[in-house]
Amino acid sequence: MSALAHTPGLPVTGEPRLDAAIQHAAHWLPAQAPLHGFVHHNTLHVYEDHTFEEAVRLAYERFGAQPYLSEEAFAGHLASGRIRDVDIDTVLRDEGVSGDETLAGKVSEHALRRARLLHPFEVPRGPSLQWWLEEGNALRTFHPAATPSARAAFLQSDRVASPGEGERARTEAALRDLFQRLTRAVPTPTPNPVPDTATRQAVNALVHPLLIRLSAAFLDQGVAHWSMPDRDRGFYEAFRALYTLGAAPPDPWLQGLRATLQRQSAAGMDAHAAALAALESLGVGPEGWDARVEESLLSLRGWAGMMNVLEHAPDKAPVRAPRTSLVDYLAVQLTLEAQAVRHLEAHRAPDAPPPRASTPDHAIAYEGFVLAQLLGLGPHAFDDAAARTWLARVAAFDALERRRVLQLAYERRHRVGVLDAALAHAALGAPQRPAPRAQLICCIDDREESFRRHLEERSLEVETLGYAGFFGIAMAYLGHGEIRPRPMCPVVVTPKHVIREEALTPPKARAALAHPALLRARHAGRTSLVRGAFASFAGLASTVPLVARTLFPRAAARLVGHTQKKPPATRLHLVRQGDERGPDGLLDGYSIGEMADVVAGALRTMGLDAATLAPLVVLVGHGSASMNNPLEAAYCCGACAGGFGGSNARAFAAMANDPRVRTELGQRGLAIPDATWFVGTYHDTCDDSVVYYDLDLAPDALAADLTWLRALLESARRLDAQERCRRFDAAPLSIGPDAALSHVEARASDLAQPRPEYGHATNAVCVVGPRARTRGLFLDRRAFLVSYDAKTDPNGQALRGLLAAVGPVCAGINLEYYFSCVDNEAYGCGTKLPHNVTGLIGLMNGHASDLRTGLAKQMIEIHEPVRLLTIIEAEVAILETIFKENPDLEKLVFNRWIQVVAWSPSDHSMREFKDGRFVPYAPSTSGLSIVRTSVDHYRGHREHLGCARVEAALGEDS
Amino acid sequence: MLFGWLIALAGPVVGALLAFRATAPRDARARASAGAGAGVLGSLALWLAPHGAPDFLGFSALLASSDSEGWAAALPAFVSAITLTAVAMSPLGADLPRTLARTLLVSACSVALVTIDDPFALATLWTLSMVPAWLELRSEARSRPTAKVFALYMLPSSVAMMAAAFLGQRGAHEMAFIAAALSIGLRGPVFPLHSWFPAFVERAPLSLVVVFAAPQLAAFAHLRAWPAGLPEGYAEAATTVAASTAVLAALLGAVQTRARRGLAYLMMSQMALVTVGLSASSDVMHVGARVTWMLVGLATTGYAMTLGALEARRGPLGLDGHHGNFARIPFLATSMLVLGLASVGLPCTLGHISEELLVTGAAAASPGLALAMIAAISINVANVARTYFALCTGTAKHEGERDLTRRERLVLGVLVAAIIAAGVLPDAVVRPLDVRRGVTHGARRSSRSAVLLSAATTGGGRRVLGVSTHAPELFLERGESLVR
Amino acid sequence: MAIVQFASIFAVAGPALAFTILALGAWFGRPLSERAGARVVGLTFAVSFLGLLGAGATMIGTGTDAFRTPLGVWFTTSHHRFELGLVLDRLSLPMSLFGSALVGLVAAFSARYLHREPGWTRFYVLLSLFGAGVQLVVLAGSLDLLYVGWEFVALTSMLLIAFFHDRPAPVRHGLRAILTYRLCDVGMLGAVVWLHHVGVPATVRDVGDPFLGIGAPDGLLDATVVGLLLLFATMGKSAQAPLGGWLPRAMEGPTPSSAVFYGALSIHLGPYLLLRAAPILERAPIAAGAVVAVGAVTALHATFAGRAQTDIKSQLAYASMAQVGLIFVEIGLGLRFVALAHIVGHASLRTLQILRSPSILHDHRALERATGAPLPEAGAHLEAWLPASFRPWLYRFSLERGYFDAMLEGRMLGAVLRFLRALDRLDEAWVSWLEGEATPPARRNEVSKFSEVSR
Repeated sequence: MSALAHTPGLPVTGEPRLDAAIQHAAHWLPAQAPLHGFVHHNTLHVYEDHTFEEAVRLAYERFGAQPYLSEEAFAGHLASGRIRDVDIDTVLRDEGVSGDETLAGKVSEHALRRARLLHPFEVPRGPSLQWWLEEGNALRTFHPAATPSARAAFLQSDRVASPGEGERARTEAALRDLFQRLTRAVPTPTPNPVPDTATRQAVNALVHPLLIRLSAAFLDQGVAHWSMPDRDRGFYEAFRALYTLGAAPPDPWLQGLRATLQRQSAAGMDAHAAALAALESLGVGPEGWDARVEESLLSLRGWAGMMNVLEHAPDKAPVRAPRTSLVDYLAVQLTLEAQAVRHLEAHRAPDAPPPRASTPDHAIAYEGFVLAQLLGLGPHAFDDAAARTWLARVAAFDALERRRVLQLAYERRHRVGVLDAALAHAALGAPQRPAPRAQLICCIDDREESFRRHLEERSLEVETLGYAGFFGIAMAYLGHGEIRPRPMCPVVVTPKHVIREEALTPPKARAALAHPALLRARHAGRTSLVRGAFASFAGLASTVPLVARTLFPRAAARLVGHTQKKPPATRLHLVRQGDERGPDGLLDGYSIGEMADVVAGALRTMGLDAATLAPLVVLVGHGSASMNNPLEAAYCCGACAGGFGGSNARAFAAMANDPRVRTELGQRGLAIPDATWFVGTYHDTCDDSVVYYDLDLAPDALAADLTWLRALLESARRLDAQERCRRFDAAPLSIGPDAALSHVEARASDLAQPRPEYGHATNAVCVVGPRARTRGLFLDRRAFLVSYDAKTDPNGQALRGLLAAVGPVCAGINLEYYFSCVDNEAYGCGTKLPHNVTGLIGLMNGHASDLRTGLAKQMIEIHEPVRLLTIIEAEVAILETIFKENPDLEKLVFNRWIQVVAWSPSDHSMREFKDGRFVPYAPSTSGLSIVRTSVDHYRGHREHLGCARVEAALGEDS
Repeated sequence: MLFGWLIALAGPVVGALLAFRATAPRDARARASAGAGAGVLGSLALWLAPHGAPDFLGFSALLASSDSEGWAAALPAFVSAITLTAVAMSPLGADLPRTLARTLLVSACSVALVTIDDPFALATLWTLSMVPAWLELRSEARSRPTAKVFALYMLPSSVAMMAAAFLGQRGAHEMAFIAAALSIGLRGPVFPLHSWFPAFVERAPLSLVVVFAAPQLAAFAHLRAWPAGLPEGYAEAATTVAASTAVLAALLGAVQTRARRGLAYLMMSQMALVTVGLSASSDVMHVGARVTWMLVGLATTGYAMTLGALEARRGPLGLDGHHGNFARIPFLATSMLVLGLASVGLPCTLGHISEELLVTGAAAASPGLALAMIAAISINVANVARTYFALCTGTAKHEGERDLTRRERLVLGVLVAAIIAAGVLPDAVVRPLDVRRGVTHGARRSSRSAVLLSAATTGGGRRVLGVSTHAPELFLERGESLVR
Repeated sequence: MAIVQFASIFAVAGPALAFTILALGAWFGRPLSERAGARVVGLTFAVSFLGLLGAGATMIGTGTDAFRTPLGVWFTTSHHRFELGLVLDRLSLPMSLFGSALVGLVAAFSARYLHREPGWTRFYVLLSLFGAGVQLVVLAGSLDLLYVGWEFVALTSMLLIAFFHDRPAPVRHGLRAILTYRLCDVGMLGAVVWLHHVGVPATVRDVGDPFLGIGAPDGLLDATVVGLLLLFATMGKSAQAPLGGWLPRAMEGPTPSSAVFYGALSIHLGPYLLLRAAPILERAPIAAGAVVAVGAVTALHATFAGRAQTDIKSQLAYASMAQVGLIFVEIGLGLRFVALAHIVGHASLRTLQILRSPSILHDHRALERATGAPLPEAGAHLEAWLPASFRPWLYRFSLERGYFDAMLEGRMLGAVLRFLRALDRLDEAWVSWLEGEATPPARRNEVSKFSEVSR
């Protein structure tokens, strides 16, 4: 915290010093964009310089956010067999925990840790422990987890017991004896100064409601009927203008604020000066600025973070870019805090902090006591010294440490399952398949895994590939009827081109006038009294949608769909003739050369060329449309910045079909056969619908192929829906494909459905390699599948680019899910049910809370928080060079934010990346489930499923 | 009858003895519960089968004749039920055997007090019941200073009660009235004689607090002394004092930051409401007061003991901020809320009936009084809600608290069920407590202490009769009953 | 007329039964499964709705304007009888029908919305109890019985606002709601008391009006007092100025319960009570004028405050408040049928709006697409007529919600609490002097002063 204060070379005071403090604090703020552009990213991105374990611990200390799953959750996984003894043993061995040194009796540290991990038990503290000891049976009978042999050993070591005594009495006496010995050995705690949080809380209680109201008003994008005056002068000045007005608010604590602000106004202070003045008034010297600024900004980190995001990327605002800056925000906050502190000092009797109990904490004694029972150590194993050592070791293996180890064991079980299955699957080989009649290029998205698998199971003549879902087209896209273009590319890329969708026949003017009126009716009476009254008298009409939407969501949605006018036929305005610029200063379309670059890049990376291209190549963009879901963008295509990826697929197909582009490609040595035709489609991962674009342009020769393929897709989407339904408690396990499709359609259109789909939940694996590696391998919708062929990329050039893009994206998704899952309140945005959209940019709980960032509870409830297991088919040497060259990747890999496994294309061996180097991996399990079709594998199961070999996709006969 | 009475008395006494001799707190609680349970059975027998056992040695002459005031026969059962709840809900602790023994002794004194019908015996038991409580306060360093305060308030109360009995017998009715009023006011407690009470509730074990305060011996003494209501002139003063106590205590409860002190003011406010009802000159209010008395006794006992159960799990309970994780303690929290709200008028519990009777009764007499009572009740509801939210909700943190044990759940479940049952079918409770029936039936054989002390009433009443134009009918009726 | 009798009884008893089943299951550690629970509650409200529909048809068919269902005497003392009875008339029939339909719809909605939520049973327990409470308020044959339902509505409202109990904010807001309710209950009970005092039965009976109502006391003063007390009673639950500060805060609960409480039913119980008490308002013009005044002030206040709100739920809360204010005005002016139509229409509209409030992003985009241009900055009507120098002031006034909180909480309540604290400290000092201790025992942590102020 004070690190900066002593860093040489930094300004000592004044504005630059303040800026440095703000910069420093801004790192800890969440970086989430406004809702409509929700894109997954590593929640702890700024900590990537640290190892994962350090980072989660730092965040735990700073925000109190949980670093791993709770011990109760791990206990559940132990009980269910998700974590096994062997995992714990292996992890402890890898950690180098000593098994030689004896602590008490014959028990080693290793045994202690093992017992502690395998038998999670709750340790109450303070009065709870006292109550538990008095009311419970802890001091009367053995802990229920103690095995009979441990009990026997425990009693045996108890030599004092007189033989005449009954078993129960003996047990009780020995237990009490042990507990007393251990309590005696509890170290007296060193008095810890309790930080005074009372003042901070009191200040926040006064400042936050007002600050939230002001921030929301300032950032509002169109919810309020009245917007804040003087917004374009910046937050601080707008605030100052508002609160220097006469007849100041009557809140007792705001008395005097007006005078302060008037002084600042008269002195012509800007935000910097005001912030400095407030710091001075708070009595914080430059040496304390870092701490104070950080404390203040973090007290409402959602709002501060939004100010910060919009300061650096104002174009991310959904409607109009506000003039934000963190200094402005800080100036307002500190001014109000100074005001609050003045008020509190005047009105608050000075208090001694509440007396802190200085009695030793017996919780540790209880923990050691239970452990001794589990290990069969009776009271006489513990003389004073042994008891002290014992407790010290028990204390050293604290909850944080245990959860870290459990997390490793948890990840190991998953890793072993996947890697062993992949190796076994590869070892079994596959029969020769006919040349593909159609190729589908899907997004690498984990949700497409099942869709692809089902397609391949239905026909051996289909091949699927995975490529980032924006298909290399970093465009801003202006859909037909849209007001402003939106970027359709990864967030790190700034689009230079705009592509417009144009209606083939211009719409008749004023044809749609009734429509806005109808839409407006929905909002009637939100802000206007008179219109509201009229709407209310007509309100009985609302019962129709209310009843329909509530009781028959799918039918209601269909009915609405039927009544709506069909959108007109459109085409993309793709080709740019010269250097025309669109209204936003973007290039209006692509030139032929740029298009050729896009197409060539994609084909090369996937290892496609004239020889391997099928006659029909289908690009599948994806997105997810659902009702009543402010987080909709988080379910959409992350590679398209939370947009609907169909337009990119459509654009790519149009580019690749353009004869001029083909000519250009031919000149570059990547000729596309004339018989090959590209089709753009859109797959909605929520209702599993598929939309085809520009089919009218397809050559007649392909009509039969297209019909065949569409039939395949029809059945594949039903099966996909069925496979997804196994995860939904509300869908019966026996649901058939058609019913499943109806079920997911109902979900998408249901106002009452907080889980339209599960998004990326359960994602855990990323495979970079040819589809042949994973074809016919059931991966349970948990794997990002990136097509890459090491054979066509001997020096790793394509892989370099691929990993640079795919690595952070997949890791970002995976880690966002990880964090939102392990602490849904601190990292995630909690349950969706009370969410309240504010200013079109963010979510609050109720009427005035901090902005909630991260994922909702309904999105992560079935997630398994494991770090992404990234399997890359490439040689170790190439990978090592790539990691070294790319600092982002290096941090992710070396600091263990992802797990990396190299799969050699030459000798088919696997190597795990551990402690900075690749070490050989040996399978430890044998046997791979072999099933005829995926359905056979998943039918009747709700839980996560292991990998399996699906014969139908490989053309094998059972 | 005698048999039941002996068991009702001996149960707690033997239980106290056994509990005191127990080495383990757990055994002490079991024995004390058994003793209290026996007490409940005995007092039930006394209530439901008044003539079931042979009368020998003429002991029954000592007992209040149950048919003179039918409702009074239920009082031993009421006291015993409170005791059983308090004892069975006591959290274990090293000092528990001693505490329970004293608690049971207080209970035994109270049972005897509500059954024995002699002014001197009443005064003696009045004093005796204070002794174990005082001893308990003495025995802990933490509460020793409070013992002093307790004694400073209770000693005058007991002396005054003795004096009242003596003066009553000597015919000095005015003096007797004043002495009795002082005694009852101190123990009541009414404002401004209340300061011992919050301190007592804060420092004494909750089981003892409950058994000492919840049966409201002050209310009983009040009824014994003036079974047909206070004389008009005094009645107004008494209602005013009691009503202000009810409102003020409720208000003071609203600013408490410690749960126990909040509980003290809640109890004080509720007890004052009973006193208002008993003092006022409305029959409906009399019934209301009796129903409130029973209801508050039981519901507040349950509420206090859930607070105690929570305190045992969490340490001292603060009302600042929010300290509870509801998910850890759903049953405890629900019990606390239901019992707390029941004690302040939750519909479909007996609390609502009592509130309805008190308030509508007051309406007939004086709207101002009714408004004060409404205000007090409303603030008490807010205080219960605030306590619930502060203690049982508001955070996801916890230190390993456990929910109610099976024993606690059983006790509280029975209690809640009884309060709800009585609230849904109130006639079973209201009819026996109907003052008018009691008075008309009892007219022939008023109890001795009543006659002794209420002679003051007669005198006072006649004086007022001359000037009062208010509700002459009611007053005459009261006069009649005394004359006959 | 058996169907009418059945319908009135089942409307109250059905939800109460559902509540009992769910609550007992939970208490005995065997909570009903989601499916079973939703079925029980849904069936209850479906039967209740159909029954009331049948009752309505029968009443219209037979030309009955009002039908009473006496349920006997609840309890008696020698001077007091508490009689139970339900009343279906032209006022309670539509309200009751509507109540069971909306609660039933929200129950169906929540079956999906609250799927897998840990507090699922708690939600349905409270929703059923709320359903019973609303029906009791609507159908009650006397003010005393109405009060029972009134309290259940308050209790469930408090507990549902605090539904997400592991954060302090919902809990604080739940407490604030109950504080407001209880404050106003003084008015309710006061009115009952006053009617008893002047000897007017607080029963709903035929008073020669289109609707049944509570008879007015003869004296003008008495009628005025009772009217004002009843007005005060409704100001809490219907969030009228200046006591409406709890309403936007109440949006802390799950969306469906916000919809059915603060969009549909709970908030309209105030006007309903005033419609029942219309004879009293008719008798007492001052009270009627006060109703108009409170309604008008609320409507204006809420309209202005609502315009500055930047989150959708607060905006809807203020919109509700404004319309309920208008309904008050209508009632005060004696436009009873207008008010009833307004209540029913507004409840439907607002329920749907709150239920689909998370769709605001979609809606905003759809509206932009439909108009073909970015939506213009609003606020061009009324506010443009005001002098430019006054507009920022009015904006701040609206953003700060009329400073009502600051006045009531910061100033009035704060002063009372300070006085009481001083009194309490005095008491403690006295006791510690008696105890002979040099220093008073550890005093309260003064943070309380701020934590109590629920924002």
